[in-house]
Amino acid sequence: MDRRRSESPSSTALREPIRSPWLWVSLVLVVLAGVPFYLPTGTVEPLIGGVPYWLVVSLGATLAFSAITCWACLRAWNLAEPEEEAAAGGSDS
Amino acid sequence: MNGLTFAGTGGVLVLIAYAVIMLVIGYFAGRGKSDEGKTNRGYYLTGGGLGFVALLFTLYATQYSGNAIVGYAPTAYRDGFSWWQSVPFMIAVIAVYLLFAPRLYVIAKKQGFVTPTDWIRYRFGSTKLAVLVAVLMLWGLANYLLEQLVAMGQGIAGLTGDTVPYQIGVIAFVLVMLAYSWTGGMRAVALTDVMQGIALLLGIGAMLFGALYLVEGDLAGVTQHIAQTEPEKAGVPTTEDSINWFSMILLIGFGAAVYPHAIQRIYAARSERTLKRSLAIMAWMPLATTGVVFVVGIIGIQLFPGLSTADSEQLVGMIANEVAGVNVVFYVLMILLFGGVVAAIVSTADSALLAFSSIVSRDVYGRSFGRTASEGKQVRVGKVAGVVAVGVLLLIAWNPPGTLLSIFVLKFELIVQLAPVFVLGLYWRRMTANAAFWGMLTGALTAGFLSVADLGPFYGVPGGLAGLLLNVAICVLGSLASRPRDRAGTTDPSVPADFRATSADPA
Repeated sequence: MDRRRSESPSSTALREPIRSPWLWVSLVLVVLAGVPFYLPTGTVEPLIGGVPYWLVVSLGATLAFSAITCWACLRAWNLAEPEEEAAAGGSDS
Repeated sequence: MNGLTFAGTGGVLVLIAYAVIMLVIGYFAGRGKSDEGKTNRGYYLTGGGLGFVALLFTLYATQYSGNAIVGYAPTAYRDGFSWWQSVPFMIAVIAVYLLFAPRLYVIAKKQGFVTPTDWIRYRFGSTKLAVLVAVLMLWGLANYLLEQLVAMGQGIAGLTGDTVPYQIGVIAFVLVMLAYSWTGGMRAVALTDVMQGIALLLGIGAMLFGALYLVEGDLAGVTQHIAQTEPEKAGVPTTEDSINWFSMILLIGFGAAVYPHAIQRIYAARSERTLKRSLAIMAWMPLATTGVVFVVGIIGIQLFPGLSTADSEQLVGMIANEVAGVNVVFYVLMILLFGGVVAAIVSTADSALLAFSSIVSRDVYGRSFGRTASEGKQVRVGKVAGVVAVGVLLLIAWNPPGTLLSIFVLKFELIVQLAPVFVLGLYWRRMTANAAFWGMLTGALTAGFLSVADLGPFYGVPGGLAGLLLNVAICVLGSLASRPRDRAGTTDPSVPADFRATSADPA
């Protein structure tokens, strides 16, 4: 099932997210960071901008979760595109 | 949302306008594409030709139903800040797509898949497993569709202040939905999703604007008020709640990503570039959708303190009433909000209906009585089955069960059991059809039983996730324990060589 077809002229650029272990390590870490299990239960203060500190931490982790996922879609995934672009002459929008 | 007083004629006019726009889009989507409607792949997947804008909005409008507004705001109201989890669990859906969509897209394009079951047959060559998958998908989709029909009636009755009664509202919009789905298939569904997705975004924006107006833009004041009056809603959640938070990320992430209509959008993408660009944007949409709804629910804690669980279900309607009473501009904004809610519901329902029909066409009729029938006839049978299913569900919808969220979780608990055959099945050659079948069946029965018996969550772990863990364990251990000659599915000559097991296979 290896889709890294050697006959493709762009084979060196073929990428699949599942093959990037660090990507999944990063995703697991930001997901865990966003769940405040490691903070003292029931604590609210200090408030940061009026918001409980733990929510600010979770918000930051969530933004990182979105950013890494978005990045992985655009940069860690390139299986069929070279072939499709070649076939379509790069006309896909 | 019943009993709203702000709406009426304005709401009816907005609904009529939405209905007309949907019908016009559906008409033009189907016009000149008569050949497309004669094949399963053409009708159900636009022949795999969805471009960037249509794909993005159909992913968006399908993933976020009306429940994301009218169900999630009350949950934020009841749970407090811990409902922030609704943002990461929707991002998780896109992260889970990354686990299987890239490779599945490539295989689906090459093999001409139409339904998720096509992948099961291709990979495992097992009729038994394919039937189980089809049954679970049909059950999940029917339940999902039922939820949308219930929400549709409530939304329309709410928007029009009961000027349009619940039943009439549902029937009218169901007819509109059936009309454009029938004529234009996936192309009509996706193009109406563009309009519906924009309406949803406008509606959510209007709701946030209105709620902020009511508290004079003082969000910090709202959170300080909550910290003082209801500190349990502002404090760090208990360990059990944190486990439930993490469990929901897994459950929703895996469950929503393997919904049949979600998988079919992978198949329908015009190109990989289109698909990954759409998903890249989708990774941010939870912040603009469930994140905003979360803020509105939190504001509701200050605006309407002390509501019971049942009363809190009306929170969005209550806020809308308050906002609409300010002046005519806010009145119009709130009509936009409810128009957005209805559009969101219809856009989710039409996708579920189309997926339901496709499974009937391809996996039920096309594999039994209609084995020799033309694809055009298979499509027609699927369309008729969809109409019949909606008719049956409408009868059930007249007596809506429970709160919206409880129905939502019940569906996920079963659909999520499909995740191993997509995620593990794509990469682990040694995975066998038998292990997958027994894992899925055990997981579904366990999750179903726990839901029906109202057992769990177990220290924060919902029954659906418990079923999934059991499912994965059986898949893995069963596959490892099987001898090569016992791997009936993977030695079947109909299974592609890529997935055929040999005694030399590495685990």
